[in-house]
Amino acid sequence: MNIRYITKLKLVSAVLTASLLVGICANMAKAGMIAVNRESANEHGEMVARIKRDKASYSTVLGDICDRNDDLIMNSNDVIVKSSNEYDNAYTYVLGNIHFDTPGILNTQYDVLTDTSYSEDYDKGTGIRLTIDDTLQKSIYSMIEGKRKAVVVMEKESGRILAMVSSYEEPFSLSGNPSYEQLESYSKASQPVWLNEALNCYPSGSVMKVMTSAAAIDSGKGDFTVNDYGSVSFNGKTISDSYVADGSLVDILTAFIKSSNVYFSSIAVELGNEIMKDYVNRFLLNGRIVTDFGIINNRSLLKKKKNNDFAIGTFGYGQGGEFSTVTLCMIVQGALTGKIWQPHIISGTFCYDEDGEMEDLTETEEKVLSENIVSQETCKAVEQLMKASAEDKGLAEDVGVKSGTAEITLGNGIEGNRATMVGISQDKYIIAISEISEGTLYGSSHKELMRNITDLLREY
Amino acid sequence: MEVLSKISGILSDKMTYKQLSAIASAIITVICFFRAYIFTKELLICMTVGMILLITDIMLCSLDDTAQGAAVCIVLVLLNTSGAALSVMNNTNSVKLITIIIVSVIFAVVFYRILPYIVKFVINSELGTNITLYSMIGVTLVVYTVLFFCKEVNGARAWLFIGGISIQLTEITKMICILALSIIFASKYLSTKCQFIWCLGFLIMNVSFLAVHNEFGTACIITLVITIIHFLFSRKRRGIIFIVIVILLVMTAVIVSDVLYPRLEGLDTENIAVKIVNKIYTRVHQSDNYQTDLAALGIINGGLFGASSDYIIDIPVRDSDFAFANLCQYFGNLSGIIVICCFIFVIYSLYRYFIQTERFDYRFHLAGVFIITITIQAIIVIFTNTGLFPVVGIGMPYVSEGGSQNILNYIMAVTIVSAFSSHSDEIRPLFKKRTKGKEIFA
Repeated sequence: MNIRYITKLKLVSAVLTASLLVGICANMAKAGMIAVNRESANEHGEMVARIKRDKASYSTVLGDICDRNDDLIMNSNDVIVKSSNEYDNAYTYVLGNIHFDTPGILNTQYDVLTDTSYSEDYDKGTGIRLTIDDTLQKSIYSMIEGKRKAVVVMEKESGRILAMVSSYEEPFSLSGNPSYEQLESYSKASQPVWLNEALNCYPSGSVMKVMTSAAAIDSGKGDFTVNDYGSVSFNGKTISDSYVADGSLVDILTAFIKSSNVYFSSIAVELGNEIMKDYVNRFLLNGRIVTDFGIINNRSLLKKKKNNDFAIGTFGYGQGGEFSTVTLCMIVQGALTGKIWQPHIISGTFCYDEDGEMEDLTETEEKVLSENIVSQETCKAVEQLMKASAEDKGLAEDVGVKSGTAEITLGNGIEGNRATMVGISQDKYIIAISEISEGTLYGSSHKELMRNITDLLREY
Repeated sequence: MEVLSKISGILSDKMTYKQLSAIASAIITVICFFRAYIFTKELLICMTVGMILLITDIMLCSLDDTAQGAAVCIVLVLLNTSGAALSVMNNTNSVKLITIIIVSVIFAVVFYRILPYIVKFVINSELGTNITLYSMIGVTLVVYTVLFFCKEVNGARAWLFIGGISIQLTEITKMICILALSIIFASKYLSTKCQFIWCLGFLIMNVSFLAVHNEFGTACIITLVITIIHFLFSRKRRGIIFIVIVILLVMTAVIVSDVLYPRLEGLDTENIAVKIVNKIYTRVHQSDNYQTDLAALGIINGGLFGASSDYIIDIPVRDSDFAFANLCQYFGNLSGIIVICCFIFVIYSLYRYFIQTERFDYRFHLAGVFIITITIQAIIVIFTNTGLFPVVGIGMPYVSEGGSQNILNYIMAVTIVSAFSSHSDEIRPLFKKRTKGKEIFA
């Protein structure tokens, strides 16, 4: 062989071989087969032994988790996934599921929960106090259990989430009482049954009209009217109403109550690309929001520099993007207060003192993500629209709502619906409801659930 | 390889290396799938997959009849068989697994058959070299353009979905890049300067597009392979210059992402530039997370000979990124070490092959590029699994699952083994190298 290769070849071979040898050493060190770091290896070994003892899939002795009233939700000795019968409960999606890698504070706050530096007891990690109200959470869960539904209740003038409940429907292709393994296999194969519906993003439906109304009123187009003939065309494509229209002149109030797609797509086109995009950015609908319980991947169709009229119109009536249930709360918050706070479910951390009493360590600061979204006059006008819609649906005076129905394609390729409803109660709480269904389902079907939740909040 | 010759001699005077490697392959297959059966209790699946794999292994063994070829063949069979057994233990759909193996064999056979034509019409012709390289650039650009219309999977656009079948297009671009590298250095018609420019061109084109598609794992492999291959095969000191350029480019990317990352808040995260900065920053500053913690627990749980089916740590992405940790868990850490030794042996055989051969033809360069590619990929995965390198989203050659990667693995195996065959007259016993090697260079 040519001599010029030899040195280079030796060097390359030596580097690659050395790297692989490092790999062997690292592997052996990790496995605890050599006493490079006996302590660390023992620590790992103990952890495995502890998990084995529990005879559960995964359990780690973590810090305690309590609700806003210091009622314990998860004791450090609890097993997170105990058995096949407990894979769905009121806190499954708040805490997350390590086994299925679902978002939740067990994943996002793992470092905090396993931080034992504040604890006298070696096994006890740092505790987390949630903004969740245990009673509210469990009551709402009992209302939606067994449906692929999510409910989020948020304070109107902060990012505090009082309840975030998700449930799942028995996977469509599985009948009877599916085993844990069947669900796991099904989850991996097709339908994401383990996804937190509160974070899962789908088209919002007519709930987006809250944002379009706010944008229109704030831009001085609150008096815009249009003759509603049941359909309107942009760029050769038609947008239709879901009801039979008679061609009469509709204003924003009538359109909001009747949920006119023609009106809201027309007003969005009237506002134009730049203004609509501006409001989309103000309402934070164009990107990802990192929260303490997971990441919300909002996707708006108005992300291009220039969008055609059909795209703008589609967005205006609620079919132009994918947004989570938490985002729906944020849209209402922006439209009713002019500000959007960072949503969070952790109010702070704590440890236990020598007497076993809770001692506060940190407190979550309220963070405003977007402000001056719309003027205060606009906020009042949007509130009036929502209250008029609630009155039309026969709900109480202190309630305002907007419902929506979006067409979606489920993971298994089947066409379905997402039925949504947002509401404001007692001028203090924002509620968002979302349900995914294979069959036809309308947002207005959540009326009773909204009534029950607002009744619950009145007692709260 | 003397040990092999002795064993061959003991077994039978007439036994060839070919037969010996086939017997070894059969033993390896039986052991791996017996372990898979103990774990899964699925006799039919284990036997079917095992038999099909054994047939393909014997086909591979029949390619070469030298001691070194047989040894490399056994090593590759061991890696491949353990990977397939791992897939069975992972409950991968057996029909899909068998289909992938059969399709991979077809691709490998086709590639093996067209290899002489590549040598004739591409390497030995100036026009052929230039047309092929420009065509490769064209095809690469087309593939990357198609990726713009594909949907994102785990934040990266690397997959094309056609009627229920997913194809990892970035594996195709990686394959094209590897073939291009071997052509660049095997062709007699490219000057040192041209080789430098072609390598830099392929590097920049691939890395730029892969960054845009957020596929940093493949970008990482391509960068390392091109840099090492250029260093190895280039003349004069251009190899050093190339390394300096790559280091400067990587450092610039890291520094720019560090500076820009704090200013990203509030920007549209769908923006490509924001995505790239985000990805580089999070990869560079990635600390231990629960994925690597679970991988560590899996490695510990594996013990020396593998964990029992009663208790298995569910390692995330165990079929690709964390396949090595999964292998350690299912087959034991001893197997993990054997797998690493296999890769060391492959590198050693490349070294032996390089210092013994005097013909620097296409097969020589192709085998070199392939061996370096699989070794680098294996090193990255092993480091990732043991917490020494950030998770970049690439699979381990021969061990991880994946149709596109499996096809590439089979093509590489066939090429590497057949490369020894074409130089059988020049291959000497591995462990007598020192004295005889010096004679060659004298």
